[in-house]
Amino acid sequence: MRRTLLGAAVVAVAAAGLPALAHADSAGTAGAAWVGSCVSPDESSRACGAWRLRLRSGKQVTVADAAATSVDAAGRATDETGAFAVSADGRWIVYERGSDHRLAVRRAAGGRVTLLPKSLTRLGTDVLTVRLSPSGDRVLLEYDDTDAKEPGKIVTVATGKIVELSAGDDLEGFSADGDEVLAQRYNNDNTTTLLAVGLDGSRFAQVPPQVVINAAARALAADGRTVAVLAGERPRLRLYDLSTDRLAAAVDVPLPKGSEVYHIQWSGADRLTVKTQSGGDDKPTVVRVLTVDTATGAVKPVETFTFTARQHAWMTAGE
Amino acid sequence: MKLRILAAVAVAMAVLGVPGQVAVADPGQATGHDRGHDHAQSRGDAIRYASAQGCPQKDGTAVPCGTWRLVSHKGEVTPLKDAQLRALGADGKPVDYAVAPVAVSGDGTRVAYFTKAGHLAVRTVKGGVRVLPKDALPPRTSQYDVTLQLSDDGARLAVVAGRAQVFDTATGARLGTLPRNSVFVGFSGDGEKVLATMDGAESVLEMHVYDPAGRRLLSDTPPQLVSANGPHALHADGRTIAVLVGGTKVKLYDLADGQVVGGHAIKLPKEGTVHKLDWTGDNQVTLHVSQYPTGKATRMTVLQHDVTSGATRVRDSYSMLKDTFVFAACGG
Repeated sequence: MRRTLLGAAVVAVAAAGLPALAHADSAGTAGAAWVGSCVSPDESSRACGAWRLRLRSGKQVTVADAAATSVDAAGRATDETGAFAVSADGRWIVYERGSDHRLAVRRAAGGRVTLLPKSLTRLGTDVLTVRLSPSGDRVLLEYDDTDAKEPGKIVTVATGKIVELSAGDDLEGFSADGDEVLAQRYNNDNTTTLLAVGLDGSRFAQVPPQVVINAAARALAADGRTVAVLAGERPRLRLYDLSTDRLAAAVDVPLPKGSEVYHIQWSGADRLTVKTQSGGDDKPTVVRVLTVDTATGAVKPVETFTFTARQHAWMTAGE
Repeated sequence: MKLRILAAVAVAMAVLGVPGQVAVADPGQATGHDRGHDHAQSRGDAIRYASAQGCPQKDGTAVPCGTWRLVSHKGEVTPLKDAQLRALGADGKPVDYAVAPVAVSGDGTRVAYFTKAGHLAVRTVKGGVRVLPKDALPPRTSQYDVTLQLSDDGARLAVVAGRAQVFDTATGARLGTLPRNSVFVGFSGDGEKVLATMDGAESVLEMHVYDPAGRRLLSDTPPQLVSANGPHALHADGRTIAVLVGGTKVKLYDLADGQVVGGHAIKLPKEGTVHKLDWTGDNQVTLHVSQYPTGKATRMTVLQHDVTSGATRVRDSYSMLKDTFVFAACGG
């Protein structure tokens, strides 16, 4: 096993300021997380070393007890990258503990660790995708098991309470307030249903227009029914109401050319946080975080991250 | 997730049986089927399908060989002697692996093809040949890049090579050209309109209806039920689309209103591949369903489905010539 990395300061944060993140103490929050890359004897690469957080203060810190790689149901080590996520506000992280691969939640700045119920990882962590709610109070779990039998779950961190979702649904993420999740379900007539499922059991479901389901990125608003979609080579924003099946007119969003939208999330009543990436392959990947005014389409840059091939896996806050 | 709609009528398949041996297509089924078309011509002489033979190579693969053969409903096999079999590439030389396209009209009365001289032609069964103008295709067009499709009555021919053009088969005149980026799907039931799709600006599939001159009559972004399924067929009314949904239903969608306006379940032959859906009456669609049983000749079942009552009956059922490499079946 050869380690190709470690120690190098490879994440650059542009000094663009943080206008959209008006936290007084945003310096202690994480903008991104990443784990290094090692080459296995068979030439394939895998995650290795420690997960690191890029704090908005400019500092980089190590999450010493987070596992770089996951385990299967029998507890054997795999080459799959370990579960990890950063909340949209950058204050919280979830990861699998290196010692026992149980899921753990704590503040990005450090502090007490909350362990999630052991039952959540009984199928192994290699099949697991984790997401944190925007304020870090809930964790969304999705199992990529072969027979799609294990239902996704929403866990409230403070209480450990688990709400099960429908097995087989593809989960897209939390709504802006973390009270609902957006999911899709493939139907045998080849259409796809989009659902907003609330923790309280409420739900809105529609087979939406093509533009909604074909869009590159979707996000559910805090109201649990309004879906924002960004679609097209010259991206246009539309709002879609899952309770009424109404699709609003498109707004042009003048994003920089050559960048591809890969993630959107509501970050205010009329504001989306949009992530684009460009580069990749042999070149570094540049991730731009921007905000978009949902009424006017106006774009404001927030921050920029650069990731290289030495980083096996990376994510920005809220992905 | 995007559905590609193929307008191709030629379906490639593996070589079955012994090369050179000409089997008569299932004579037991060759008679007694009835109309579905109100054409004066006796159905028996009409073309059921066109077949190209496959010849095995030293390396075990097969290449098309011989002459395009027209197989009639009576089971007669007639070589289409003046037709190009192996596609000519842009350099004018034949390629080994692909046939020049042919198309048979839904009523089996006409066949469109490339002549050996390299021109597009339409032949009428027991009738003459109409050769299309030399400039019907851009110079240096590879024949394997061309798709031909005749309307149900054979009166119109679509020539798709990049852009789609519509020709009158009686006069050979070009009636119109569809806009760039427009993907030809098929003629309406009466051949007077054209259904096409186009990729829209926001990652959607749009559907358009044109007249033969290429003027757009209707435009719609249909719901997932229509865009995520296929094949599609346009009614003679120029607005109602029939679409096979999930292989189990024929649904009707009104492009002008944006409404699903009906539909019934349909039972298809086991493991059948539907490669054509066409309107053959005001309330009737016809489906061509092929099956590929291992070690046996390809089987074709032609179903008539009443979209009002939901009733389905078998209009025709036959096995292809055993040595068939590629076939082109009728549309409607």
